[in-house]
Amino acid sequence: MSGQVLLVAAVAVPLVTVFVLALVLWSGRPLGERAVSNLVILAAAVSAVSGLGMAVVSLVDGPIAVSLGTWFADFPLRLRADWLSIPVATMAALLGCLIGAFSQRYLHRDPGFRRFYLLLALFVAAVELVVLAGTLDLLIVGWELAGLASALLIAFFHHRNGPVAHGLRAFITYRVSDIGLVGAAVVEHRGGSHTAVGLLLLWAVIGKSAQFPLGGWLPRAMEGPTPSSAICYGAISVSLGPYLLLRNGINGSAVVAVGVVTAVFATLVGRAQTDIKSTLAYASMTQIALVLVEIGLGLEVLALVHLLAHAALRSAQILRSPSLLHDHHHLEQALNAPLPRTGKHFDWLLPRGAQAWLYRFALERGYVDAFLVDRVVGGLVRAVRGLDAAGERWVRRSSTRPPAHPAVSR
Amino acid sequence: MIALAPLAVVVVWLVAAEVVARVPDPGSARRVATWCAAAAVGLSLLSIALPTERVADVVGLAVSPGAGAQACTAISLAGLLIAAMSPLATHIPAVLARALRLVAVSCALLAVRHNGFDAALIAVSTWLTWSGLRGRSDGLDRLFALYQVPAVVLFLVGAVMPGLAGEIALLLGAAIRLAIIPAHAWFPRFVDRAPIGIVVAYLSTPVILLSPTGNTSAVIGVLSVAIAAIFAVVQTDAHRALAYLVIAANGLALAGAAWPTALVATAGLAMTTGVLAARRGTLSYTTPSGDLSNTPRLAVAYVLFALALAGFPLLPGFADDHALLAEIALPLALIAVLAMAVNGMTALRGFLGLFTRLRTPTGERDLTRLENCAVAITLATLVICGVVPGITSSAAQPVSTHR
Repeated sequence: MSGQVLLVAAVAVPLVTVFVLALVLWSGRPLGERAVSNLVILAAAVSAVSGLGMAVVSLVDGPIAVSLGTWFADFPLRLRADWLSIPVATMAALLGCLIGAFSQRYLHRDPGFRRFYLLLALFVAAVELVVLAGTLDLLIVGWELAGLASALLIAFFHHRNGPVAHGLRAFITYRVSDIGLVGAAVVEHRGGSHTAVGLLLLWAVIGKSAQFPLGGWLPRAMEGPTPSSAICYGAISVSLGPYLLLRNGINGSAVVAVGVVTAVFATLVGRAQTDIKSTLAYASMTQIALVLVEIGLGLEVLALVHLLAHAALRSAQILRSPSLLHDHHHLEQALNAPLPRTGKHFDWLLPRGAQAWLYRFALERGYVDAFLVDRVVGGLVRAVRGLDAAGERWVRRSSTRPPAHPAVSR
Repeated sequence: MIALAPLAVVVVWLVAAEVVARVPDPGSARRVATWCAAAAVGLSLLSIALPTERVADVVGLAVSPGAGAQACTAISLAGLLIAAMSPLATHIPAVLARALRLVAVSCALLAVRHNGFDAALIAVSTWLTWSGLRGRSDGLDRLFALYQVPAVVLFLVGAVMPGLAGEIALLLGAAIRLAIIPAHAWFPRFVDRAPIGIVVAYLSTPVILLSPTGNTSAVIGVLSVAIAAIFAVVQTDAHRALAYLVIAANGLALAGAAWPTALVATAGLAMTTGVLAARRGTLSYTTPSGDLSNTPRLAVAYVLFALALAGFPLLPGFADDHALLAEIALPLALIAVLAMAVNGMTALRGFLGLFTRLRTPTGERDLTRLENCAVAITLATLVICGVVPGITSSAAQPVSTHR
């Protein structure tokens, strides 16, 4: 089988699965849990096998490229598989397959079982499209679909306020960062400078990969089902940002600066978290920030290896997190004592006053969320609502009928 | 130009309106209207295959069999949604018939392209809508007339006056009619209080065909999109959010984006909101009032129509927005990118606000069979046009080109 067929199959099979599943679910035909989950797992498996096949083909023949004509005017459909995209695409598909199998038991008899698998298929298809896209325009398609699938997975438990609010928050952050990505494509098409394109792409990465100051959505995203947290926020979704920079050859001091600030911030805040999923979320932020530092310094191969290793490890950690407390108790019983504290170096590195201040800073998550939500977004919302209310008062006056003349009314 | 296919569709809509007006029972009227609308959609779809070239001349106007068939299909799909989804309580047969007449007028604008005739049809459309609102105690008719009468006068002036003055008059007329900011104050109340079928039918009038294209309209359109998008995202009422989303879509059309697919998405979103309002009453995002597991089709229809309007990938708005971004100046394109991103937020905010967080079952009904058929046909068309956007790019040109 040629590399080009494998490349198309890696993207097309999950995408077609989404359409088929959506059509069947809309038609209202009763489709069993097994059938739905197996279909999605099979699609991810085909994608993963295609990735492995592409790896073999590209080792022999070099990078693979496919041109499928134009989707519409000025929008070429091109796919590309090389040393960068093949490992990420294969990892994403393998994790999709694994999460699909894991969720068969985890979400068994959940009312939203079919919806979960539809969104998982959409997420895998979108990520394959992002990773294997040969143009920035096509990458945007997958990027936006992945954002939608992620947000809907966070809001999966839709009867509770928390997941819904956090899903919306994640989506709003994604859209804010999408401005950078689409803006970069527009500037690139107009022959804009590489620096402008790079800065816009970096803005897109800050939101998608939960970097400072837009990372507040990531710990909250853990309200979604654990399997989706593992693939979206532990492994693949947050990795798309660094991948975007690697794909477009963006590096330099701005990337390093974002990475360093986020790494320090997330390390501090992560240490004060009291639940395992939030701790893992901040650990992910830290590691992705370090990957950005590597990219900024031009260490592309190291960054790719770090990205893949982090994705695999973090997925496993998040999948295990619900049973971690149980294991923790077992370990303490075996030791017959509490587990030893970590991070003692902070005790002798920092004066006591600074420790207290930093602890408060970390508990409040650096006051970043409060500033962004209450001051920036809240201020804008209040101002716009005030203008809207003023307009409505004017409309009320304009639409009120004048009172009839007393002589006429008599 | 006289386009024969849209002319035949106009006849179907007028016959449908006359038949519906004579049916006493609202339920039967809706069924009849839906069958007639399906015939109109079928006829429009069939006529897409007809040639768009001139075949003869009649009273100085070129006659073409298939010109405008694609745009006519979009209007007919909007008409199908009106017919199948108009709530029975607010859409007695007389109201439904009025909405179908408005759809006929919209198709007539595609059937005969002549400046004077276009302006007259827009006047007829405005009069049909105003006469349906006349005598309301909330003063909506007064507010509507306050904005729409000057718009009609400007269209009539633009039709008879040559040169730059005429173009300015047409641009102003189109801006008021499309509720472009700052001429938008009438629109949120119109969407909120008028029967939703009438609102959608009024929106289906392709006034954009009369508007001149150029830098001025692009600047006005894009600025309106940006402001409307920001106003939409802060709303807590679904009707007002819908109104500002529609203003944003109209702004994009004025700036030069393709309007037929946006019209279908607008119609779908508006009618879905109307169906929800008929089931629930008020539609606030702050009060939990929906459960997507009880009404999955309604929820999916809402989010897909909203995302189509926001230009999301795999839906037709994406290709339309891509084409617009390539055409306009870079600063305007960046403003439009910002507005499209904000529209996406509004779409998901509406979906999560209306279909989540309700813990107690209310027995709310999902789409009825008739509604489901109309929504399925429309959504299928939107998805096909989104996945294969090439099929919608050519046929609309002969009549959809701006003045």
